[in-house]
Amino acid sequence: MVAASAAQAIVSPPSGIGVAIQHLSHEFTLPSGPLPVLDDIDLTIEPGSFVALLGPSGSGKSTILRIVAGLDAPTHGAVVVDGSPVTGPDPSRALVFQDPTLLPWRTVWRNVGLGPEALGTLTRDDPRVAEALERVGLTGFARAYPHQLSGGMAQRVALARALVNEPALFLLDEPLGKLDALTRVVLQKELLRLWEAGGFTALLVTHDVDEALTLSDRLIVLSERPGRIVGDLQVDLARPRRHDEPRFQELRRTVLGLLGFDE
Amino acid sequence: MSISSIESRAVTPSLGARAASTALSESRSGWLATLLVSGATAVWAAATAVTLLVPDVRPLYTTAQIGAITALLTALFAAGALAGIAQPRVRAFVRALAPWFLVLGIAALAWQLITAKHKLLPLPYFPPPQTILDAFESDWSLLLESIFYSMRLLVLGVGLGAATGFLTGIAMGWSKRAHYWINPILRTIGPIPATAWLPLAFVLLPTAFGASIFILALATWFPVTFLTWAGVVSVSRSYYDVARTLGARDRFLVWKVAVPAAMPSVFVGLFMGLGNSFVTLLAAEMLGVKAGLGWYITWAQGWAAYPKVYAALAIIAALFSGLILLLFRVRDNVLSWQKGLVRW
Amino acid sequence: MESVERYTRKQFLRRSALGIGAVAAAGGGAVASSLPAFGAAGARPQLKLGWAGGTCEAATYVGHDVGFFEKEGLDVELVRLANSQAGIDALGAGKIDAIGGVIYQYLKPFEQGLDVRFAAGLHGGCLRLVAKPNCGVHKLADLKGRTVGVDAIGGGSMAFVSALLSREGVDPTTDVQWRAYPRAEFPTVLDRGDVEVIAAGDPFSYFLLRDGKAYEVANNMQGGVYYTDRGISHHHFCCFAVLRGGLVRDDPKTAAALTRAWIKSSQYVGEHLDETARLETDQKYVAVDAPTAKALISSYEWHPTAQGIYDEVLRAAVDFKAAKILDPRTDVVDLANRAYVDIFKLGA
Repeated sequence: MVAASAAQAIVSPPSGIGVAIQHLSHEFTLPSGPLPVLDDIDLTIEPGSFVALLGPSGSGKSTILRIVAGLDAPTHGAVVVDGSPVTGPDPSRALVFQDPTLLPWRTVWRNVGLGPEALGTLTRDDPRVAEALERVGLTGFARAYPHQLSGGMAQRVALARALVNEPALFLLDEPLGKLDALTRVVLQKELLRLWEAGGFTALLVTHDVDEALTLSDRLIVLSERPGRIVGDLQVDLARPRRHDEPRFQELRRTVLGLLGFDE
Repeated sequence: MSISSIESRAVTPSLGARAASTALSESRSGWLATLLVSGATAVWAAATAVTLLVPDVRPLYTTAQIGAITALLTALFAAGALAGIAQPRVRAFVRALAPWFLVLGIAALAWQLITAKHKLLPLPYFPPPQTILDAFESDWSLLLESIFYSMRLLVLGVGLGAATGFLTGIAMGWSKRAHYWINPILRTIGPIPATAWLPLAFVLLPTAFGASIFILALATWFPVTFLTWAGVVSVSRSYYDVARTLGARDRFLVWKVAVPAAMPSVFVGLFMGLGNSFVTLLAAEMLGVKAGLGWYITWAQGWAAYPKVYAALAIIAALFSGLILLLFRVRDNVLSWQKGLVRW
Repeated sequence: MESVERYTRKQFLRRSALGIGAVAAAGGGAVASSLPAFGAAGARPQLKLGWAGGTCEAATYVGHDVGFFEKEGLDVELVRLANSQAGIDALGAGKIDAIGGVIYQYLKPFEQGLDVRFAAGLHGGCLRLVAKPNCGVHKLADLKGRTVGVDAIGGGSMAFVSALLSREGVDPTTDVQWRAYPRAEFPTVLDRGDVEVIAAGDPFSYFLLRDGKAYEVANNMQGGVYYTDRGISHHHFCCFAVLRGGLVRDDPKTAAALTRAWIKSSQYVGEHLDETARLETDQKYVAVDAPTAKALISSYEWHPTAQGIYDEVLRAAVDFKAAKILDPRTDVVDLANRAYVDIFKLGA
């Protein structure tokens, strides 16, 4: 389905897909014994929505993303994406890490084209690559090497790399965590723009309450390890959101309270 | 006044003071450099004089030629020093060369005195430079033939060893089963020196030529396998994760992710393999070989004709340097993406 | 006055003691080990003789075990070497004082500056040129255009064949190819057809003959009756008494005594072949069994002498120069003069 749309010129953005996380539990097997990280997560995500997963470190948020992406198999429970259970990774479920993880021996262009190349559909001067670069504002950097890019630019390349496959589900694992405050603000706006234009379902993992409130429609709060859902809020604010709005601050207080920070 | 300008005033001395101090340090290093340059020229001139004027302690046939070479080197250096008076670039080059040139000049002078003009060190192990030049002159065609034979052996043996080592290392790094079977072989066979294999290789392989290739290949195979494996194994898991989420299958992961990521390590293995192979060349050429540098050395050593041995060693050193340089160039090309990250 | 004298004498004694101690400490190592050690008064001169495990080195073994060296008042220690080629470097480094050495192996190193002298001939034979049946090689001239397998490039076997070839007008450097093979593999080499002719020393060449894998074309005794001495004719010598140059210069009397004893023991070998063969195998000097050892030493010539050795050395030098082993500019007469030492005249 994704391949077919990639073969034609992109006319309309694909619609997002729904995610159903069903009674998901997971534990790591350590030499000292099993370590439970997730405790019965049950969550349904509407297609096209922007959901944020918020929680303290160790709460298993990244693990949820890895399982939804198909990189790890859960010890209990299942994940169903767009009606089919997840058995392995797939380009329709793009995952962006905290580290851009660009292949250092490839140029920006060849990094962005990695997905199509892996599927054997990459052509010379493939327009999809140029388009993805334009979407993240990096036209002209096609020939650069990763070591020549700043942190923010590298992360944008990582976004372009994920976008070139026209993913229906975008999984973001603290993508802006390593960037400086100013770049973060810029890229947050970028993400919103891409989401609004692309129409994909976005699942963002973050530890930044403000970021979650700025970007998402729905905020899921997880407890400490083993993570379980302790809060599920609708963020009913109009975009663009301002931090000094009273409702914003109210939601912020609620979330912090759920996380155990009482003011 | 802004803070930045106050700071810059305090830290940077005035322009005039800076120029003066630079000039002073330059002049101080200037006369030292001039001393070195003239010293080096003088030593080489002395070496020339000693070579040509002091009588040889026994008949040597190429003293005049050695004297001519020494004189030529002296003249070139002196010309460079003189040209450097007017040309700053030449001056810098000559000054950079001077310390080594001085040391080499002292060595040349000492060598002549100790071996050609007096018999201070035991023959035939410490021959005068005249005899080494003589060895080059009388055996030049045999040496050329030997170079050809050795290079042929090296290219075939090292090529085979490197190629198989590369593939073995990838297999070991990627497949648990391959690792299970190959690792013990690597650990036990690897450390055994190739020379120990000589008689066995000779019996097992149909020709002596095949045995020589086998020995060289084995010597190369071990480090290349080991370091390729190490490179593949140390590839960051996140590279695989990213590629997998983008739809990559195993074949793509191995050849387009693992191998390029392992290349820096592979090159280290190639360098080690190349070095190993030269050491092994001598042993590999002990069997049924018609000519070759290792063969030549063994033959000359049997006669205690050490000037020939040293001549051949000099050729081996030059060849080895050349090949290593070539490998460096290849590496710089393939690993050009590392330019910003790592200094080698 | 007295006290001053005593003081200066004490000072002098202390200083000389320190000086001697320093020299002794500094002079250790190779230098010390290369000189015959003269210990306390009455001790015999100590010599180190090299050996490499050949049956033809019988004179060395017999001289040591039967007592000929002892009878000449020498304390001889036998030093085991890896192979005959190692003898060259052992002599050069002063680690041994003498060795029964194949002249073909030592002449070129001498030309290169190795400090040795040739004093006497000890025995003849032990290097052979053998050929595979039906390969068409019956005389040396037939080797033209062929490949010869040897145990070591530049070794004694290759050398003696080269010398003989040059007498036949064949250029051993251009008309013949030489390939080296591990000794133990000679039968395989012949069977596989890598070469059809092999030049090697005993026992490996002898084994090829014994097992019918090859027949003998030439050996290093031949060359006709070269020298008649005291009514005894003998062929060319193979092993000579090769003495360290320093020993000959510093202690010619000991060198002469050694050579005398060596000649006597070599004579004894020729007259007591059975006993020698048993001694060689019982004392594990050689790796073959007694019957093989007996067969081998019986095929050699044991007419040792110091007479006429100058001519032998000169002849070898002439052959080598013709075979292009020696440098073409070398004066062979000068070489022979410097290489040969009339040890009994020098050490009288």
